Amino acid sequence: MPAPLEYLAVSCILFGIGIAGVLTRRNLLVILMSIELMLNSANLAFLTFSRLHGQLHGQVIAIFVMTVAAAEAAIGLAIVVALFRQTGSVRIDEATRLRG
Amino acid sequence: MGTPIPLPIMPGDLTAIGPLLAVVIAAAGFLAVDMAFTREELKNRWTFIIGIIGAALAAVTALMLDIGTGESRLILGEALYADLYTVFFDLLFALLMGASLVLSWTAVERARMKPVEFYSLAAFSFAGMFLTSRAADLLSLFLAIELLSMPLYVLAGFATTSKTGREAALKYFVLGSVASAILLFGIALMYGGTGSIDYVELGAQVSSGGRDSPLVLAGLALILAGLAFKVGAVPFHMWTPDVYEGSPTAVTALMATGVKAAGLAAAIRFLAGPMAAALSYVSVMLWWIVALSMVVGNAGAMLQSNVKRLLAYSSIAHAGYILMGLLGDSLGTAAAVYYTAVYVLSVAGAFGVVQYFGDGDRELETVDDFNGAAKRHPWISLLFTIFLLSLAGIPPTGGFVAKFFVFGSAIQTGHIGLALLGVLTSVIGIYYYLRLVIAMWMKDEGRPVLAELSPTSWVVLGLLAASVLALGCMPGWLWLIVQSAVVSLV
Amino acid sequence: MTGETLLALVVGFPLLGAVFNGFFGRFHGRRLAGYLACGAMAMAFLSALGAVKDLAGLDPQVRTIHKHLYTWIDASTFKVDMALTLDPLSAVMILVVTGVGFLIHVYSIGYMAHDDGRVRYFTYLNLFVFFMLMLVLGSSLPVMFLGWEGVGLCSYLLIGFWFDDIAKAVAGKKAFLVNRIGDMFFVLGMFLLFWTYHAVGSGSLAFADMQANAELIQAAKIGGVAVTSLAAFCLFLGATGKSAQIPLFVWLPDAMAGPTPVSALIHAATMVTAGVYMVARMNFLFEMSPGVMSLVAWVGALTALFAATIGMAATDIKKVLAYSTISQLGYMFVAVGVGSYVAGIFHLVTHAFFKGLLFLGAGSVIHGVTTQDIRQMGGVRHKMPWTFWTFLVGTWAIAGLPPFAGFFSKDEILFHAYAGPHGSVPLWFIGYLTGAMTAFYMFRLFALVFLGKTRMSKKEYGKVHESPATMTVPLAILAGLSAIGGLMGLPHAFHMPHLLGDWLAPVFPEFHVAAGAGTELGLMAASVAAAIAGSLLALYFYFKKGYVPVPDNGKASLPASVARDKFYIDEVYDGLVVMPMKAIARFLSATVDAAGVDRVASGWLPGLAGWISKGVTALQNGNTQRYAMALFAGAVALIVYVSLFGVRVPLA
Repeated sequence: MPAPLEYLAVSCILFGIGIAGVLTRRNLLVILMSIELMLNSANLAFLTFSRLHGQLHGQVIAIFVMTVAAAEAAIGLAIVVALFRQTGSVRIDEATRLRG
Repeated sequence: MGTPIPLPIMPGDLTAIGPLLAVVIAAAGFLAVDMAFTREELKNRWTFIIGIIGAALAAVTALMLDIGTGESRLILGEALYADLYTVFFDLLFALLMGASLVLSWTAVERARMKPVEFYSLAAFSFAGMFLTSRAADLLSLFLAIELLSMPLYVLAGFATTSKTGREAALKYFVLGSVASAILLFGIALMYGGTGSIDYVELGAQVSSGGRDSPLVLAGLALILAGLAFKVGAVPFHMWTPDVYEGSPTAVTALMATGVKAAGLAAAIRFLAGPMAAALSYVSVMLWWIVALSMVVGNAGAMLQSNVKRLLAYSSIAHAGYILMGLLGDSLGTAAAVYYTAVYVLSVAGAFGVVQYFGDGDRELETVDDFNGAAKRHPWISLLFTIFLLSLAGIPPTGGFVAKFFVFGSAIQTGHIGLALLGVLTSVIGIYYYLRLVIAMWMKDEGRPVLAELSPTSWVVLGLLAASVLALGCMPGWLWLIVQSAVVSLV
Repeated sequence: MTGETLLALVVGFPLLGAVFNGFFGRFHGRRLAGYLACGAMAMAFLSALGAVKDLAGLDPQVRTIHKHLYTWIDASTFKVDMALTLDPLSAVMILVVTGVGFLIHVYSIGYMAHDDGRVRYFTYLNLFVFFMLMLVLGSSLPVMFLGWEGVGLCSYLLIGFWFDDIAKAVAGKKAFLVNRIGDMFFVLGMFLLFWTYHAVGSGSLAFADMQANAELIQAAKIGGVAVTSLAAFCLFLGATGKSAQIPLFVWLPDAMAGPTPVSALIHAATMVTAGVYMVARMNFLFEMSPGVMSLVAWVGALTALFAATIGMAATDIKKVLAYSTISQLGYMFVAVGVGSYVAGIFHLVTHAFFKGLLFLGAGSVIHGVTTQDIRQMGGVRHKMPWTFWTFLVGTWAIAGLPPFAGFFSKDEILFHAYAGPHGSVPLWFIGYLTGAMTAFYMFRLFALVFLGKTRMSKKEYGKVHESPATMTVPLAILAGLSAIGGLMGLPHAFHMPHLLGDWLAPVFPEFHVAAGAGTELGLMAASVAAAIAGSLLALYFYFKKGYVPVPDNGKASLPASVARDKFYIDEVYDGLVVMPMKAIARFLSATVDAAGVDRVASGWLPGLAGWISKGVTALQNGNTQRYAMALFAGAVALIVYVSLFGVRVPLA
């Protein structure tokens, strides 16, 4: 069984991938996925720490976070769809009307 | 930690979350109204009635809380606080909800949003706000912030007529979610480092100094970043101008008042409450956040022609002024809370006025659109001027007294450079707020149209203006309340 | 009524007038607005008289009346009362403000008779008086600051009163911005004092408390500099803004864009003297910092000289008076700078009389002639006898010719600048020189406007008429005051009581002059000689010889005969005076005023802000991913900081 540190490392790497995705990908759907990745990397961290401390707190938090993530995904997709209907594009670098 | 409690609800706990229940019930009531009636007038009428009752109930239940000797009480399995501080912010949010119902109605209808839908979403957001000042652990904090934000992501893009609303919604959503993820990861690290998420427990661990582990420090940094995002402080501020400008004005008003105040309520609780020891780790970084916010916010607002964008940048600057209070001692914290109250009242008034200008689908957008307003609509221009003077910090308005407290506490605790910068940047602030005043009072050529104000709107705007002036002329009473509220934080 | 009640009424009446006119003016009409405003001022003046009479009845040692209105700020360790304090110093001020203010209000009825904006005008004017009285009567620094800000705002509104004219609106804005720079330093000085007093356990900024605890903060230092000096310096910079001294004088000449009675009330008699009053009020602080004291005196002296030189070449009747105001304010700062507060306040009072008179006279001339260019006037004497005679009294007084008011107050300042403990010969000499120049440019103005043959066309000249009684009566009263005002401060050399000095004695530290009556009389004779020489020279050139300054563009559009007989006086002016002064002015405007305050988006402070502003908005390019980048960068910076320097910084 891998040591907690390795789970933590995976969690951090996932968070980093999420950040990289948000910063570099132009497709909004991929960015949404990246955000999910960041939330879930936090979940992994919570679970790891929960085991580490021998408590249930972290796991309870993870369940809360999954609920929140689901709601967030729904809202995010709705906004992307609404934007696509208006502009016909799901590229984040094309939504730059507001600036200055 | 201890043994798990079977049902962690004590007698009196429900009263303590009374305001929260009141708005959640109101939100459910809105949904019921939407289903029960088919005719728009009936929907609207009942939406207004339920909303006002909900806000009034929230205020009343907030006042019913037994504060006892003034110490903080932990309720609902130590997840939430109940003390004078929560009462203070409860009253503020209840007032904002009432003001939003009365003052934003015209703007909501102008943007072709259905009031019942708008206010049900807004009510859920308000529920999140009522939670932020109460949060006693990091999970409550996270959930409160999510609950407050998500309805607003929707509302930002809610106006089908708006050309920019959806872009604003997208930016708000993407950046807000990223900030939430950062906050959450910070919470995870903090939990990992200490094995706890309770403020009290965390505070004890941090101040004992035995747990200066990298996990705790990194977690602290990320949580601070997440909170600074909601507050709109530099460099986490970049969403504000675009989102404020693009969203329907009624939503922008909510963001500038409610979201800002809620973020500050959470940040003040977090940094000046039981976790105050943590502040000493980040005080230098907070110094920079404050300084940059004041400079970037005021400089950004200086050359803006769009009124909403101008107020957005200025809200960044105000976040800086308020956070400056946290660098001081307990008087500084009180100054920050006082400033928050004054800022919220002034901005609520200012947006209240802005929402009434314009007709048909058109809102007034630029500073020049307000040319000649005073000639045609002197009373409302006078009210607007009072709110703007307060934001600019000119006596005898509350804004001056608030700045005086904040700068005074900063100087008192040795942050003279920061206070100097604050005074300097507030001079820029005076310049751009006065541009609006000048446009209204000293230019003749424009013909701004004012939508009809109901008597209730006049009363609400008048009360807001009166309270802004009262806070400038007789700040003593509120100052005493704020001081006791801050004492109950620790 | 008790003195306290009367004191509240003094500030109450103008506020009431402003509120009444402001809110209900549209209903009761323009004519009534003027009468209401004057009524409010008359009542305020009577209340002031009553209050001062009560004050005079008290024993000199305890001569203060304190009216506590309510507690403004109560922050446990820091308390500010909204309170008014009448002591001999503020008594003098309120009498001037309400008395001269009343006359100018009456005058305004005539002057503004044809203006549509009268309701607004009288509202602002009453509001100004209210704030000015708050400034003067405020019992603590924050209350004074409230008035300080208020008068600035009213001044701004009144300068830009005719805002349809862009140039006038810009002038108002410039006045406001320059004043804000000064105000910023005022606030800083206030914060510094608060902080220092708080550290020694006295969180009160009331003047009485500050004075009582002054010794406690004497030793406080920031970075090796005494806090008292630093605070005094900041407050003095604040005063240079309000009282138009180097380097912040640039707004006052432009402020002449406002209606002339406004120039008389705000930019001559009352508001611009607020800086002098503040220094006199805070004398205990300034006394602790001799360096700042001498800075005050020198800035005053140099401003006096500098402004007088420009005044000699100005050709706009109001601009001449504006520069002379700056110059006279310089005298007052010389006085307070050498520690002779009584002389400063004395000159403040007489200046209020004769400069108020001169401005109102100028307004009367402009009213009749409809131009402000003195090269286009001449011979007005015959058409406007009242204005002529009263203006002569004012000119006589400001020139420092006996026996009118300006002679006594100016000579007291010069004597103290020469022989006082902080005085010096160079300081005196600058004042002396300025005195001669003042006499010259004022009689130049007088001759060009009133004497000789007219330079107006026949048609224009025919239309010139004397102003109505509402204008000439205030002129006559002010002329009377300018004539006899000097009696309240007779020189010690005359062995007569110095009434003002005795009255103000409880407020100020004692001031001893080592030199005897002989020196005083000698200096007096010298300055009278200089004033006479200056006046006669001016009369010789501009009346006897009939010279007229060349137009701005240098092309002689005036009759050739006038231009021929000029003895190169303009060339001399140009070479010796105008060119160097222009160079100095250019330098000052490059550093202080600049396109900066004129064009707001440049200049040093606005320029820097504008530069940052452009940077900020350029960064905000609309790309969400860039915003996210800033977010992450901020978070990473926070993490890096806490991991590298994650030691606890002890909180103060």
